[in-house]
Amino acid sequence: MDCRETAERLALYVYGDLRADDAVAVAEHLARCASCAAEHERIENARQGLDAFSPIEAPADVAAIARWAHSLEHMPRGASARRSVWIGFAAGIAAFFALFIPGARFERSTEGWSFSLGVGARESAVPPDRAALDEEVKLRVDRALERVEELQRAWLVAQDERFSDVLTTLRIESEHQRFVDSLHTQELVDGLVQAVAIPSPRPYRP
Amino acid sequence: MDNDTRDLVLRARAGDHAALERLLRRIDARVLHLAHRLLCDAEDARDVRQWVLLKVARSVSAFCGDATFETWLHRIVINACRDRRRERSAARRAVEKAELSAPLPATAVGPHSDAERHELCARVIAAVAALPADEREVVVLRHYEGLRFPKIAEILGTAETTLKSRFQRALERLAHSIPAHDAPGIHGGLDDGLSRNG
Repeated sequence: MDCRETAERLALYVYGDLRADDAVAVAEHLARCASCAAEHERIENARQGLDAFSPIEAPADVAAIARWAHSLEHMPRGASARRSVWIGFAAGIAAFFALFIPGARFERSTEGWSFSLGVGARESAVPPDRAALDEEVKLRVDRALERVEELQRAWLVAQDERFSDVLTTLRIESEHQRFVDSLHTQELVDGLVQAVAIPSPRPYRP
Repeated sequence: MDNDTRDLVLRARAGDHAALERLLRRIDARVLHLAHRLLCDAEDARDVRQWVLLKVARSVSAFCGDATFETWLHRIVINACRDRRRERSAARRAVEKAELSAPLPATAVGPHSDAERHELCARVIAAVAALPADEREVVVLRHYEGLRFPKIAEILGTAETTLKSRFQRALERLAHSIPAHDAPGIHGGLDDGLSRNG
């Protein structure tokens, strides 16, 4: 092996990446060539000098990153948004009965909300519990608005320049679907706002 | 990939949040150090690390296992670092180039004190940063990650012979820019070189 062939192999030789026969040939050449031996020493020094590139410390935010990723992954998608629309629709029907059917009750208990027509209570028609209903509707509107804001924040994050690749590489259609879902959620909000604006019930005329 | 990591990947893919967090903790330092050595900038490396962890967290469910998790992770980090480099402004690159082109002091000393170690570290970072990006990638993967050339070729999608040529050129540049020092533990006789091969 001559000087040129040796010089082309020194880095691989220093890192142990040569085949055994090549390594022996390089070693033999280095033993008899002072110039190549000097070059070998410089490469070896560079190899050891690289170890001085000391590592830096990682910030302690792994848990926050995991939570953030988890929350983004579990934001409402198509199915859950559609379910929300149906829940809103059902709430609207219940509100209709509660407001226009005398005796119909919309009550809250430890087991959640319940609805009854109040059979036998016509003579003493109980006015609908408008305050409780308003409270529930307001709660749902607030929740829906929060969800819309959350989706809008996520959308803005995805559009951020620094996260442009998130948008590209993490399924752009997924982000788009979430935005479309947020529009569905906005429809739900609109529906609930209209539900709040239902006029006062007509007096009962048996 | 060891069995623990494989198990964490499988559980994270199935939606186990605790496993995902443990997986991120396990790769955290490696991602940061790899990014730091590829970018030679601590601030950029921290940004890339955060981005990569987020990407891993969100993409692990889509990781199909046609490559090993390690290869997949290396590719993500390398691509993120390439993107990061592209994002740097031309002005910043010009400043860096001017700083890095300044010749290193010829009188190197051994890293006997913290200050000297810090100085040597800065010199080595400057020398690594001065490498062309493609050569730096090979050096980082071979020297710091300890990967063999077939694996590096798989990660970078480049022929082994090309990578070996780049590696040789990079080491020649580094031999020129990293001064020899007399730190304890420095060795490198012919026998050492021979015993590492074959």
